[in-house]
Amino acid sequence: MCRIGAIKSRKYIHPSKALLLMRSQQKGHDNSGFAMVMQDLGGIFKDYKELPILSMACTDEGLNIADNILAEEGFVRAMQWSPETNPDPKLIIENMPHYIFQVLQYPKAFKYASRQEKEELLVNTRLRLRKALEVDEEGYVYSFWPDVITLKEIGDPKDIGTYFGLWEESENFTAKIITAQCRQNTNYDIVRYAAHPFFLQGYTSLVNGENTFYERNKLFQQSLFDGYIGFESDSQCFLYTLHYLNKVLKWPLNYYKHTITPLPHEEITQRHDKTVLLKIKESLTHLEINGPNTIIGVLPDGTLFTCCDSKKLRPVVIGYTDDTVVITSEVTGINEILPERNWENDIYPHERETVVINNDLRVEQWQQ
Amino acid sequence: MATIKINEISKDELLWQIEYNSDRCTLCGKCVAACPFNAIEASVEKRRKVINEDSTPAPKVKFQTVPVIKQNINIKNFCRGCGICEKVCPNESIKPVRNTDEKFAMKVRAYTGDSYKRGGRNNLHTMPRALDKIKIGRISQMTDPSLDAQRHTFEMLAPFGRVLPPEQLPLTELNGQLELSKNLPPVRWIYPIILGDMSIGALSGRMWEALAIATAYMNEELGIPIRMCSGEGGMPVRLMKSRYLKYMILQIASGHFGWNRIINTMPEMTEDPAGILIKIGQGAKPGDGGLLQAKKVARHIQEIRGVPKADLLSPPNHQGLYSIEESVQKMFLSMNAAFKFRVPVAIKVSASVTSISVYNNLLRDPYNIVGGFFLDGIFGGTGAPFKIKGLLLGSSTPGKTRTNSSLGSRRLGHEWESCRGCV
Repeated sequence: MCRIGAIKSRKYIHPSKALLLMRSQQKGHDNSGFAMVMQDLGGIFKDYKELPILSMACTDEGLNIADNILAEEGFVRAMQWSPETNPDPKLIIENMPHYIFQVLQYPKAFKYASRQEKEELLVNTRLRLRKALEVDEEGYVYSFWPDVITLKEIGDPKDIGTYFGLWEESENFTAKIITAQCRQNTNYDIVRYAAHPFFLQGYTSLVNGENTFYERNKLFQQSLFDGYIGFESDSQCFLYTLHYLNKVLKWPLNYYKHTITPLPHEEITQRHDKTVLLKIKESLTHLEINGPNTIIGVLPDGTLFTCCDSKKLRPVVIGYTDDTVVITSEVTGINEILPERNWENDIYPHERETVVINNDLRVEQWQQ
Repeated sequence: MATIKINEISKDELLWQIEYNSDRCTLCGKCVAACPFNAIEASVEKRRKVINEDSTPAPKVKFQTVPVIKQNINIKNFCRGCGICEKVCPNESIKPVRNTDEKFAMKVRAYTGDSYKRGGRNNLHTMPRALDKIKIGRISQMTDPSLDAQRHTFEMLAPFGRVLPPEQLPLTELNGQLELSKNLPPVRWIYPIILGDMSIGALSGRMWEALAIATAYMNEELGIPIRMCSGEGGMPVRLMKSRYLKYMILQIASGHFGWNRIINTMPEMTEDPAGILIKIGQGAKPGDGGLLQAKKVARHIQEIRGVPKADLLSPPNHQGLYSIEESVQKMFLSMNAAFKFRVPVAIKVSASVTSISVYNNLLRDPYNIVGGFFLDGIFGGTGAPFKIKGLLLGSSTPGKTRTNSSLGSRRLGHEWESCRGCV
């Protein structure tokens, strides 16, 4: 079972917090990898909020391929940062030669482009990079989006932390939202892309669970949007559904739960909004999920939320103080990084609930 | 010297052959009495026996006439394999055995001057069917905790009607809530089982009524919302006026049989039907149109059809239609309008090379009034091909009723009576 975690804070926080959060929850297979997405960046990225950042792990050749494609598209490098690594043969990590975090300026032709055009450009460029790098496995592009950094690697999370120097707090590398997971997907081949969190156009999701409607979700989603690719993990479906509802259809977040786990038919027919709920169930039946799942998601505006499968078969707990909210699988993780909080305020959401944390850190419990 | 006629039916052409063991038979006669088809009868055989009555070997040939049970070999009293003889036999001396090399269907046609037809009727071999392959087992062995049907409830309901793609839903946001800004095509949430389109004539009055009652019972008593399609040929007026109409899908086919009555009854309907099904093609008889055996077109069938004193073919295509676009115009619009756009109007075609074209054309309908697309497999969902009805209905009573009526035996008269009662 994956353990997942998310931290959202008023202050900039360092990824060591995420490592601490996850480490106490580790069990079983949970040492097979580490992945995290950082959003609303501080430190050296603080001054580049509007510019897209490319997060990539690659070989020398991969770097060449990527540079050529970016140049061809017209992107100009504004800043590049690579974490200082501490190679040690004792560390359990299948590292790549380069880890690149590159801040780029939009092509000149996009100077007056609308936001949507820019967003499309970023997705298409990322897909192009990914395709080109996939041929000889020369690299992996995890995200290409303003104010977002993604790091994923295979190995022991503790060692990955040591390799990237993530255990030592530093003000250079911080963010206000960090989502993390300490595991590769062990059901299938080890693939770097298969590790949560997944990111697409400002939307992030992590899922602890097994989606037994994976095939059904996948076949439907593949026809909906170009960016719905990969499907290395059944949990990617959750991200694509979130993106489709909120970004493509522009529906409010409360309909996410109604789509992935619709209420039983009899209950819907008792409700005043039954016509809408039935239409959603009719038209989006292929986006229903099944099996035990807990989902943590982040919206482009920074809203953080969590919800579960219709039976609440996987754990999740929310703990908070005045300036930090943590959502994670087990309470031990929260005790580690928020030991001073009032634990009586911890929330253990039920199967019909969506817990939403706004940007002013107000915690709301929505009922389906 | 024995003589045979060239086309006369013989035992090796029958569907079922009676295997009889005279050594075990006690001649109690139960099998003959029980056989519903008069497919066996008491008879005698001449037997040659070598016996020895002396204390030293002195074989003598003796001829005896012995009583036996014998299979009738003709196209009327043939064995249907019901196995009732085997069930009543106290001594395991008789049973029907399926003849895999039978040529019965062909022989009957040759015998009765009926030409050989294309389509589903050539289903002479027993093959595994889709229903045989459905397995309902554990849902997932990979999940943790493992899921199974008992722990995990499943929604069995499915929408019947026009389901729009999500981006076409006329939803607008108001204070964080979505609201529908337009009316949408009607959709019924039903259990994903529709009893196939078998008309009163194709089945029998009794059988059809039993299915209709079973449908209402499943809905009202068991809470399982299945639906039943009338088949072409109309429906009893009593049912159309009742509240149980909401469980029925009315079929309109190329013959428009029964629609005079349906339209005349509409002002008195208290419920909308579950749906309307326009039949363009049928897997059981693609290209042929439907044609009930002449003897089945009895008076009550003519009455329900609204075509008195005539035996009619349901033509292979809808006579007024020259294109699918036109079918949308004429049939879908008129059927939708007739029930004020409250009832899903679906279409049924047989699975053929043109099915996809039909589907694509219908999808282009700008009014979203095509409420369903039914695809008949080549062997049909209807049970019309001979072999299917035998296999699906098994060899017990329903099959018997059906086959009897199709061959016009004495029981037919009785059946008509009861049928008229239900109409």
